[in-house]
Amino acid sequence: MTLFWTAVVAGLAIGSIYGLVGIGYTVVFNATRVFNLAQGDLVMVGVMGSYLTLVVWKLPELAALVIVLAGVAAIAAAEERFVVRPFLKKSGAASFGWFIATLGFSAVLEAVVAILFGHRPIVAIPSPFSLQGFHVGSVQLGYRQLLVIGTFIVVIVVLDLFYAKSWLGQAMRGTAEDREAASLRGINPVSMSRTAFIMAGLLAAIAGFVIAPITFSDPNIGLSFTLKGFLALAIGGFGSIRGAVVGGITLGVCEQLFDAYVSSNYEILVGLILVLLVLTIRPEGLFRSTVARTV
Amino acid sequence: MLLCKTRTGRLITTVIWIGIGLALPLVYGTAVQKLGELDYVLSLVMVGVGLNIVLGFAGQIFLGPSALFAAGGYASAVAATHYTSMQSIYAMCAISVVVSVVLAAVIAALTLRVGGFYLGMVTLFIALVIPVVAGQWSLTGGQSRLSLLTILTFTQKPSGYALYVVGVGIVVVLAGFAWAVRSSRLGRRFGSIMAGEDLATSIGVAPYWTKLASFLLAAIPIGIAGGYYVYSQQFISPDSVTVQTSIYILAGLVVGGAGTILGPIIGVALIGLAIELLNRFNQYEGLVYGAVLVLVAILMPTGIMGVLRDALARFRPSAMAPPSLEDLAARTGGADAAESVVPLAPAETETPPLVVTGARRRFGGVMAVDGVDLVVERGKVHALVGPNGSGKTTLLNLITGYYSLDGGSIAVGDKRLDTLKGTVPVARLGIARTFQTPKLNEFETALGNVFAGADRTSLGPLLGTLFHTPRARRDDRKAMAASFVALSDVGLVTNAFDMAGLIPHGTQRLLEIARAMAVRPMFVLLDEPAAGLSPGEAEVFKDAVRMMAGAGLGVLIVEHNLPIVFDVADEVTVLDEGQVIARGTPAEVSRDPVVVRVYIGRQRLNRPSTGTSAPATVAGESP
Repeated sequence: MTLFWTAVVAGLAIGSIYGLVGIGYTVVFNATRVFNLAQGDLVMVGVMGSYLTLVVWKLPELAALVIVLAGVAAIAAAEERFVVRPFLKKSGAASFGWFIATLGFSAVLEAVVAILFGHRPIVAIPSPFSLQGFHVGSVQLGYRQLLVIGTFIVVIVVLDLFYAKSWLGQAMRGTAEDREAASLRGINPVSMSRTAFIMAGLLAAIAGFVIAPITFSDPNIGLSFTLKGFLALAIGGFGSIRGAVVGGITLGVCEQLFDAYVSSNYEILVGLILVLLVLTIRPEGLFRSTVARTV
Repeated sequence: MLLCKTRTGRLITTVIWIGIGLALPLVYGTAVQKLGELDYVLSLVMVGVGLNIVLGFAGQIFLGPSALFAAGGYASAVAATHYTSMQSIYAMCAISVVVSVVLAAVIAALTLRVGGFYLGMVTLFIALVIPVVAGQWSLTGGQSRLSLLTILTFTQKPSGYALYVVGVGIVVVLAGFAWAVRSSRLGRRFGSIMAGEDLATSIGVAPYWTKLASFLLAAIPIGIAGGYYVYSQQFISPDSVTVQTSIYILAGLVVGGAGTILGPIIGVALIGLAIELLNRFNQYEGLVYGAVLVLVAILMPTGIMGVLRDALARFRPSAMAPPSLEDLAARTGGADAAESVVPLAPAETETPPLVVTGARRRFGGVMAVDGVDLVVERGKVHALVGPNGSGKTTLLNLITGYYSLDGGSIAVGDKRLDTLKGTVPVARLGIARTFQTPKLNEFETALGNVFAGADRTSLGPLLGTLFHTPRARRDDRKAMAASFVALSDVGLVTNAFDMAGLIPHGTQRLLEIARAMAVRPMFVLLDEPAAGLSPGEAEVFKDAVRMMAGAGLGVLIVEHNLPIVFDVADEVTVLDEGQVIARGTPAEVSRDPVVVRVYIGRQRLNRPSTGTSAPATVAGESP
């Protein structure tokens, strides 16, 4: 059972990151109907930002966190302004343009980071938490893993409150439900999309910062996060934060269990098998969120 | 196809492009290694041609073409290492195509059920997965390459320049294939899907199967590419089919111009050559292609071909002028036009009316439609009026299958409409509709839009249209002729070659009506068709409605503009808060005290319409 529970804890940690990427997608998608293919690379920038601030510049934790948050949010805001907004006005047959553009932007991010850091060895990024943890029975709970899981829970609670209580959150939800009606009520769709991208940037920065000590400073992990985050949504159910959470955790835990009991070489197949299973049995995901059609 | 109007012109340009392709090694290099690099570029081009069918023709996001490419390539390489008979270029391409098509079928069958971008994302993920798995699996050679050179029985034949020529030949054939697909009935369905699913389903095009077809057709060129790649390079390794390959090909497609025939070939070739030539700047590769993707998608969404076309239209307008009407009439065979707007089942003049009984639909706590009875008879015009939010459009959406009923029934004779699944079967039963906001393929001509509707009347086998069989061409000629008649019925023949997205809003409504008529339905449901019509257009509209009823169609009009409606309607039903509050002839209804009480204050009944008070004829509106 030790093997099992160790895998589950590791799965919860990595699943939290998939969930955070999935939530990043959801926040942006709900406000703009754009699926931001650079979301995983924003997490990667968060990881590499932690590397830059903590390892290269040797800044204290808090300063590093602030810089990473600001930096990634700024990149996300720039993406919204220059890469995505030109497509928000267009419609019709050219509407897949933003897909191509955000994919291109993700390639640019990855290349820039690789140029800046690619020659450096991939290292573990220091963490104030020790590598050790404490034992519950024979299962070791790593402090770093618990930090990731704890952060994830806090983010979910804060986002939930934000959408339920704050004016801005409700305005964003309103925009998601009916763009035209929202703009008639004085909600500016442009500022909603900017806010959504900045929020997605902050989420990516948080994810990158807490996962950095676990994943190491590898510039090539972005696309994998982008796709795993999408798989989390496809498994859990598209369009809701709950779906992203459930899907992310499911994917993370299944991957780690597969690693522990079958083979770590083929870990990447787990997501594919899961998503094809879900599509076969429950195409709309484990948690469905229905969107009414209007003509 | 190649920016040329005449057949001879097209032939000449085709020959020139083939010549450029064949002569490329003279510039690039004829050494074995250089030819190998060009062969690699050719295989990317083949993938681009396939990707274009999904992305450019059907508008479906497909981000991971290298998944099919890699699967097909690995399959052919594994087969070649195990079986001597599988070592010819034909066998390898054949195996690669089979595997690519099967994989495409599995992915598409599952992901298209959810729609949106699932197809795109899952294929991109598989493009990421395959090299990783191939790098672990002993069957595929693991991290090292799976090489054909180690097989004693394998000899590359053709090889060298001859092999390159074969590759160019394949690309030419595939370009012809893409052209055949685009100009077929199936290709026009792809266009409808790209323009929007509501549009497509309203003319009876089933989104799921149409998208699936586009994906399967795309898998064929991509499969050939996989076989050609392995055969010409004589190896395949995880590094040669990375997910980046997909991004390069996407970039090439976007640069060249998605949706055109030549664009993807030129664009992917340019990107492929750039990859080979700039190899020493490897580090900056991703930066360059990523930036190209972003910039081209934003600044040049139609790609090189689009820019060329615009330039040509500016400097040599005659080259881009549409064919003259006489020209087209000759081509379509004027004789067929006689059997124009005849209802779908002209023999059954006794076709029963469309009957709505006790229809009920609830949205949350609101009864949007609450026990409505309605009969639309063929050959009659039935108007459905009522204040905003009275449930008119909801009822129309219930009839056409956009919403399901909470109670009651909708039927034509003994055929129940409400038990059908969704909008497509309803449309196919002969119920056509228009939309409040016109839904048109904006990047297609007015004629093309109507043609897409007229296609429904073509009964020849769909597969035959890909091969342009005599039957399919006859069908197309008839449909084209019927489209012209439908256009002239709404006075838009002179606009036949205008882009639908560029014509005025009111004219777009008439165009939608023409498309609905071209489907040859039994019933036509018009959703606020008179909104935004100019006085002249309003007259054309009224004539068109009378003409449809005269041809035996049942017409249901949902409308706010009462004067126009009262001019053409035989019968009026008034809804308020989801219930019928009056029905009768226009004269009876406009005197009904209940109607006047509900309606007055929101809209005055007897206000003279701008349509009827305006001069009867307006320049440019006569057909």
